[in-house]
Amino acid sequence: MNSLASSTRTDLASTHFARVSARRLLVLGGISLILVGMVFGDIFAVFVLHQNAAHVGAGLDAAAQAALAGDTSSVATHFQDVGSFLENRGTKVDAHVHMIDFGYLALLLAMVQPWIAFAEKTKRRIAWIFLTGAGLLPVGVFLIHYVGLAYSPLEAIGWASIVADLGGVCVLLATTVYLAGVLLHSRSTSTAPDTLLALRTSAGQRLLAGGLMLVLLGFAHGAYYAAADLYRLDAADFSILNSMVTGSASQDGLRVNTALAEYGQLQGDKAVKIAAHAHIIEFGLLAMILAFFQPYVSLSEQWKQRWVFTLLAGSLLLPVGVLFELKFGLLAGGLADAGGVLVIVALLAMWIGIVRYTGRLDAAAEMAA
Amino acid sequence: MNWPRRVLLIGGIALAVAGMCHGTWYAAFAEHQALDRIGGSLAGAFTRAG
Repeated sequence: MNSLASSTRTDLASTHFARVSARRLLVLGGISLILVGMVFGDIFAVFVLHQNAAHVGAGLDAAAQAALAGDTSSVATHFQDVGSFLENRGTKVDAHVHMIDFGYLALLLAMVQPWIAFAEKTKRRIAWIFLTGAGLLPVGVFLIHYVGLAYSPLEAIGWASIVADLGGVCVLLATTVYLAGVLLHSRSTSTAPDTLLALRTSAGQRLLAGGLMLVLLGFAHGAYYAAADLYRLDAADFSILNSMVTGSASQDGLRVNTALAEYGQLQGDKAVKIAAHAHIIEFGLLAMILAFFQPYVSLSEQWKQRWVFTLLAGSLLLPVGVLFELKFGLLAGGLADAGGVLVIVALLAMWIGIVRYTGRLDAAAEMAA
Repeated sequence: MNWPRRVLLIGGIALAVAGMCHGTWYAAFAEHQALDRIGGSLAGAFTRAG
């Protein structure tokens, strides 16, 4: 039985996971992108997010007070500051999200490699273009806040944005070429058996089941949010801003201060609900995608199960912690960060397992040669 | 490749490509311009209120 499993894995490896094959590049590159994106997200959540939100609140407060005092030049300055803090936050969220989503896409494209009707060399080149673009875009987006419009030939778009867009075009081109490859393959009569999708490991099955459950929980939460909160929060957004401006116009300081406090609460409420919803679904998808790559994780069965459990526990802990951050403050925030760390550690362990697998594969190939 | 797998595979990648096309257009031609307008009208509203 063991020899059968081992021979199946050797076949699988020699066919679809050879040295610098497109699939291997996309799997290792994809998990690396997700890992870097998550570490960046955790650092951002701990050291930037809350401090930045406080600066935005203070800037808005100062702008409203300046409007109240009739100091129009200060209003513009404070709004410039608020814009800068929002840009700082937005670009970091964008870098985090794009890096992780490109990682997911890389893993999905790794899975479909046998159904792409191009030579391995072409597929490998496209994989490099994809990974280059997937690295370039988040770095460009991250730099937007720091580079600004310096030396830019355009009026509203700086060099960092241009680099980010170039990265996006690389990813877009690579994915489009892969799509053309799948279309070509679907027209041909040739079959491409791939044992990766047929292999079922215990760790993989748990990841599939756990991931599906996380996605369903995320959908349920999203449906509840859309039905109970969405329109109420959007209407509140408008009415609070309106109250802030009319309070300033009528020199009503109390009304302005109340509106500012309500606005901060509202933005926080929206942010935690959206973040919890997005994170639980993304972690569910990640677990389901990783299920297919468990045969490549060269760790003992016991350790594979431990990392699966760690990943799923972290995937549940983070969104739940985020959701209760407004109610329980730092305690919930700390739990959410701990959840993020659990997912990162489990993912890193799986990545190391896959690197070990590739090392063994290459060593065996060299021995045979 | 059977029919449902073919549809899901091609449809899924096509959706990703369409989403990225929209994202590229939005980033190059809409995002920065829209942000400038939002900032301008908010600041204008507060200035006029003052």
